[in-house]
Amino acid sequence: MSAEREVGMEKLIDGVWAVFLDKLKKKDVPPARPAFGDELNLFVPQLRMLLPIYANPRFPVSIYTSSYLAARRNAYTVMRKLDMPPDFFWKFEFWTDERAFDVLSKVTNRIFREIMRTTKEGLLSVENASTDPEKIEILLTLDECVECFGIEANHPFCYYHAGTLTGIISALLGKELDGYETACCATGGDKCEFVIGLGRGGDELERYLNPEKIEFPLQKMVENALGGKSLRSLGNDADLRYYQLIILNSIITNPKVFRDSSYEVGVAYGKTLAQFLGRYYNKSEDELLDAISHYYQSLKHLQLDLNESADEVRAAEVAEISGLAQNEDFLGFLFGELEGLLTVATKGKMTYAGNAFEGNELVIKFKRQE
Amino acid sequence: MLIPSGICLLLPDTIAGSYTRIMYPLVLILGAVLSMRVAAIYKNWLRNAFIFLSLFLFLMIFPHFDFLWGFYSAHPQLVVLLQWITYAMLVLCSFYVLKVTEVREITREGWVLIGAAFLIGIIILAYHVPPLYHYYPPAYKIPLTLIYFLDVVIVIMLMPVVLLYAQQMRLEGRESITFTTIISGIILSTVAVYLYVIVSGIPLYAAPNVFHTGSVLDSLYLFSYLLIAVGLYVHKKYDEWGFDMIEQALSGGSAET
Repeated sequence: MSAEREVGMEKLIDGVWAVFLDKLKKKDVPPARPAFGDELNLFVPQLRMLLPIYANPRFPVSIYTSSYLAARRNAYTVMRKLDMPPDFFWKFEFWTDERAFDVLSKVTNRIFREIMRTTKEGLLSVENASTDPEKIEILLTLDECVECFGIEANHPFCYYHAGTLTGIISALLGKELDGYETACCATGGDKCEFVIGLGRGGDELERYLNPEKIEFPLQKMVENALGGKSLRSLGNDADLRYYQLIILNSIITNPKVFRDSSYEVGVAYGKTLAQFLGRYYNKSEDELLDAISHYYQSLKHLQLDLNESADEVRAAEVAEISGLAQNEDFLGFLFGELEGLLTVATKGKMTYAGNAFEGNELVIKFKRQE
Repeated sequence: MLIPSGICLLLPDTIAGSYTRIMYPLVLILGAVLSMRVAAIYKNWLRNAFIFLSLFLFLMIFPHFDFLWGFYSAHPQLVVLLQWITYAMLVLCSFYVLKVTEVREITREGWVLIGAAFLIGIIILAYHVPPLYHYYPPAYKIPLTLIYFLDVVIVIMLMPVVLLYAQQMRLEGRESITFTTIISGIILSTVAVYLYVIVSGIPLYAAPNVFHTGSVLDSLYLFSYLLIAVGLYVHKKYDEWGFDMIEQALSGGSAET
């Protein structure tokens, strides 16, 4: 991948963080989408984390690293823009534990807990901080974590937040820290718990980032999402920009490869989803097109307009790109998902045939394979 | 800092003497107390550094008490012992400061500067200290010469802090401005007398005669102690003030938009 493209992605990530800062400063931020606004069902970003983790064993390392780098870069910018002195956490490793905990809690609560509460990512808290010249250990918890809430899995998988929180603390302290998740709502914990520190990591980080196959009940997740039962005090929605950060951090290392692999994962998921939607809405395959539109609508993912032959799909308010950039690299999964859905709905093999942007509308072409 | 230290230059000699006799102990005791309070917010080597700084500042008060001068004249060996103990505190403080300083990050130019400072220090000592031998009783020649040598050692030990700050000012500025201020104060208090003798041309043995007279040397010492005390005060308040700055920026009070 060219360095130029990576810089372009970094700029987009930094732009999203800049919006978070504007919201923190209570500035007026116009909604990214006129009808759906800035929120979408948390199932959408959850799915976009889980399916690549399931399909690609290297994905956890990739998303952890990119979200760490993005958060470190942007947390530093946020600090400077909030006039925080750069030497504020000078020689943190020599601070008494009480002072370390008090000051870190105060700053984290005022800035980053507030940002994450606004974006509905969860409720961040500093639980403990212990310091030593050789070893710093900071314990953070994320209650109602958007990444895993309502999911049961056999391994903690909040890689985005592990990377992001480690990046934030690294920026604050001006040190290269490691961090990993020690408890996760998905594995039965009350809250997601992250240990961040100097001289930590090692085998534990290695094990965390290289899990065995992660199993999760996909059908139950879709059912919960469509059922609309409120699971969190923060609600069932997440900020659209958080979702965009997930995508940007996923693709930054190699957009083309990510788009192609997401497309394949999307096709498989779309087929499974079509069968589920048929059962859930009690529709025959012929009536599925309506169910598909309703599915996207109810998740506030996008607005779909499908023609009868299903060879052209017009999509508006697409969460992946609204307010961000009209970049098809972000849409590989969606193209695949629609291909899978339409293949089942039309009882014929439909193949993605290209896309075009017409104003704010995304036109996606499919062709029937004989 | 400039006003209270510069004011003694403007006062008549008699008043200036009283002024410095009051100001020296006052600023030093304030610095000693603040240093202890700063020590309480750190642990390990950095706590030790501030504890020894506090003890140094506290012990520095005694030479400024006129009523003890008769005692000092009667027991010169105790004066040397007190001087050694006082310097030992500063050397220990510098030792712990050096332990927390990331000397590996100093650039080649920085090391050249440290080397140059060492050479200049040795040259100054070689030029100014031997004439003092005429005034020292034989038994005190070596201990007092070593004290002058320690001045150079302390400056060399503390210079990395200032150099690192100067280096990082151009980058992220992660080095502490308040700590650098404190260290600059210590360095100035160590080199003040040499600066004075070089600039004024007065020999080193005559320098003690201008103490407590409202001289430039008094002003320099007072300024260095004030630098230490103010640095310590701001260092202690930094968490609170830093957080206030964040609050102000979030409430729209900052220039940054």
